Amino acid sequence: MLKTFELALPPFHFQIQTDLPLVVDNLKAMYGHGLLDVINGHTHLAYIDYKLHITHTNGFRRFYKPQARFKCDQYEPFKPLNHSQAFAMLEWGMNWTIASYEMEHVVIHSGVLARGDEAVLFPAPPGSGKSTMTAHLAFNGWRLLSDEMALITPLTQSVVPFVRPICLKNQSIALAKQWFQDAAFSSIAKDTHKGDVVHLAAPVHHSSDLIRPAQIKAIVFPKFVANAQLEIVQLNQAQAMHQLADNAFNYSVLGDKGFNTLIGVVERSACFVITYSDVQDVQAFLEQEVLSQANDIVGEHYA
Amino acid sequence: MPEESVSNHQPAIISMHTLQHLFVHPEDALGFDSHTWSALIIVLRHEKLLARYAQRIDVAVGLNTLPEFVQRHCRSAMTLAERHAKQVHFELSELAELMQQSSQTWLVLKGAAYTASGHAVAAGRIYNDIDLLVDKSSMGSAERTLVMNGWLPQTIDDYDQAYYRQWAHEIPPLRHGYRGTMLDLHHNLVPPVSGRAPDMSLLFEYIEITPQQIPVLTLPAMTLHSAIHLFFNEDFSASLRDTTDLYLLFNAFSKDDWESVVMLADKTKFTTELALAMHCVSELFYITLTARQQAYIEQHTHRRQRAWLLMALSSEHPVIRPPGHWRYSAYAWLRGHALKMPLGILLYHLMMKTGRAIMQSMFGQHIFTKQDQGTQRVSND
Repeated sequence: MLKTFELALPPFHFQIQTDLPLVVDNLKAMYGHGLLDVINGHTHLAYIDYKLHITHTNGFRRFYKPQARFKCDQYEPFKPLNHSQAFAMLEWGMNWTIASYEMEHVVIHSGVLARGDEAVLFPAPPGSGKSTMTAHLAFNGWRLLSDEMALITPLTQSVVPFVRPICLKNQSIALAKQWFQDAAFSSIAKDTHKGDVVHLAAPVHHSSDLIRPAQIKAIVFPKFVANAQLEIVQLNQAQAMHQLADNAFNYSVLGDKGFNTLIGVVERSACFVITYSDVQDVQAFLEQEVLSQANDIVGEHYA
Repeated sequence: MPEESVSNHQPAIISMHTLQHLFVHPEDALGFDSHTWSALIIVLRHEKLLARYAQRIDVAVGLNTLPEFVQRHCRSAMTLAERHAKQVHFELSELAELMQQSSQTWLVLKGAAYTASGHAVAAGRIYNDIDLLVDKSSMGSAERTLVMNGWLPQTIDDYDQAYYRQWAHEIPPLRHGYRGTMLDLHHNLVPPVSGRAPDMSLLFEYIEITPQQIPVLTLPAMTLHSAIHLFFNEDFSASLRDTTDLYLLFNAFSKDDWESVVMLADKTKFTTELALAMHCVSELFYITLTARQQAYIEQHTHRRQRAWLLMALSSEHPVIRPPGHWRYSAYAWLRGHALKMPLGILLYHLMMKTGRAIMQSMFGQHIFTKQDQGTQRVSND
C-alpha cells in the first residue's frame, strides 16, 4: 500500500511516497521524529519543497527479481535497482534532487563537521575513508552538518546543516557497528555500485544542531591508507581551489558567484591533504593545530 | 523536529486556470498560500516554466514579496535558466564558425534561436537541445564538419536510425563529446514525407543576423515556426511552455509583423497552424481578438479541431490533469502523426513503436532496462 510521509530536513521539506515496507522501516530508524505520517491527507508541514517517490516497478517484474524505482515528482533520474537497495536509492535520490535544483547555496560533495561553530570540510571521492572519518568525529564531540553535501551560503564562510544519515561502505560497516553499538543502522543494501552500503543515523544532540550554521575554518582532503603513518601536506590556495571545484556540484551554474565563493573559502581556510590510518590522529591534529586555539598558526600561513 | 506547527490542511488544488491566470496576472502571486505554492512550484518545474513565471512575478511585484521557500525555488530556477542561456550563447558562437565553413545557408531554430534573438521570448526559456537548420545540399558537409569537431552521433536502435534517414527532416541527434550539449541538425521545418515541407528558400528570405552574428528567423517567421512546431506535431509534452512562447512572440508584434506572418503562412501553406496558434493563445491567455483575426481563425480551422487541440494543451501533470484528458491527448497525438506521415508509413511506424510499448506495459517499464550491475560495474571500470 502506498504510504505518504513528510520529512522536515532543514533547510528542506520532502514528501516521500512509498509502497516498500523496507523503506518505511529504514526511514523510521534513520529520521525518528523528523518523519511525519500523512494519514487521510492530513499534512503537517506548511509547505513541501520536493515530492519523492520510491516504489515497486510495475508489471510482472514485481514478482521476478523485484526492482525499486525512484522518482522526483514525475522525473526518474536513475535506472531501477534491486528492491533490497531501495532505501539507499532514496538517500541518493535526495542527494540528486538537491544537487540538481538547489542553486541558493554553493553545493559541494563533502562531509561537514563542526566543533562549536567552527567547521571543517572533508571533500573527497569514494574510497578515501571520508564517511568513516565523518562517523568517528560525529560520535566524538563534533557536530555533524552533513556526510555528503556542504551547503555554503554564497560569498560567505558559512555552511548550513543538512543533517542526513552517514553512508558507510564495505569494510567500514563492521568497524562502525563495533564503534557505535547504540547507534541506529539501516538494513544493508548489498552489491550497489558503491559495494555494500549501510546508513547510520546522525547523532542529533540538540534540535538546534539541525539548523545552526558554522563557519568554515579548514578544508581537509582525507586519504585512508592501511597502516600508514599520519602525513599532513599543506595545500597552496591554487591546489585547494582546484580540488574543491572538482567536488562542487553547481559551482559552474552559479558562475561568478560560485567562483568567488570558493575563492573566499579557500583564502580564509587552512587546507591539507591528510594521509592516515587512524582517525584519532586526524582528530587530534584538527583539534590541537587547526581549530580555535591554533588560529595563530593558521593565520601565519595566510597572512 | 519540524519547526512548523501541526495543521490539518488538505493539499491545495490548483488547476490549469491557476496557471493561465498567473501567467497573465503575475501580480496575483501575492494571494497564494503555502500549500498552493508547493503544488504550483512542482507543476511549473515539470512544465519547464518555473524560471519564466519567476521572472514575470519578479518584474510585477518582486520576488521578495513571496514566502521564503517560494523565493528560494524561483531564484534557483532563474539561476539555472541564466546559466542555460550563457551556455547556449557560448555553443552558438562555437557552432557559428563550423557552420560558416560547412554550409551555404544556416540558421538557428526554436529555443536556442529565442535565446540568441534577445526577444521577450528568451526570458526564462529552457530546452534540451540546440536546433540548427541548413540548406539541404549542405547537410552532408555540415554533418561531417560537426562530427569532426566533437559533435558525435548517439547510439540509437536500427529502426530509429532508418526512420531518421528515410523519413525525417533531420539526422539523428548529435552530442558534444565533452560538454554533453545536444544538437539537432535539420534541413526542413517538417518531415518531407508529410508532403507539407515548404520550399526552404521562401524562409531563407526571412533570416536576420543577431548582434552576436547568429542567423535566426525574423520575428514573424520565428512565430510561424513556433506555431508549426506546436501544431504540426504529435508531441504535446511541452505544449504549455510552447504556448507561452507563442504568447510572448505575438505580444512583440508590430502591425507589419502581423501582415508578414499572414503572408508567410499563406506562401508556405501553414495557415491552419497559424490560426490554431492565434486561437489557443487568445483562449488561454484571455486576449480579445480583432474581427479580422477571428474571421481568419474561422476560415482556416474547424470548430472541433480548435476546441480539442485547446484541451490537449492543458498540463498533463497529475496534480492538474482533468479527468478524460486522455481523449484530447490521443486526438492530438494521432493528428500529429497523421499530418507528418502518409497513412501506409504511419501504420508501419506505429506498429513498430507500439510493439515495444505493449511489451513494456505487460512486463513493466523496465523490462528492457538492464539492472544496475553493482560492484561488477565498478570492477570493470
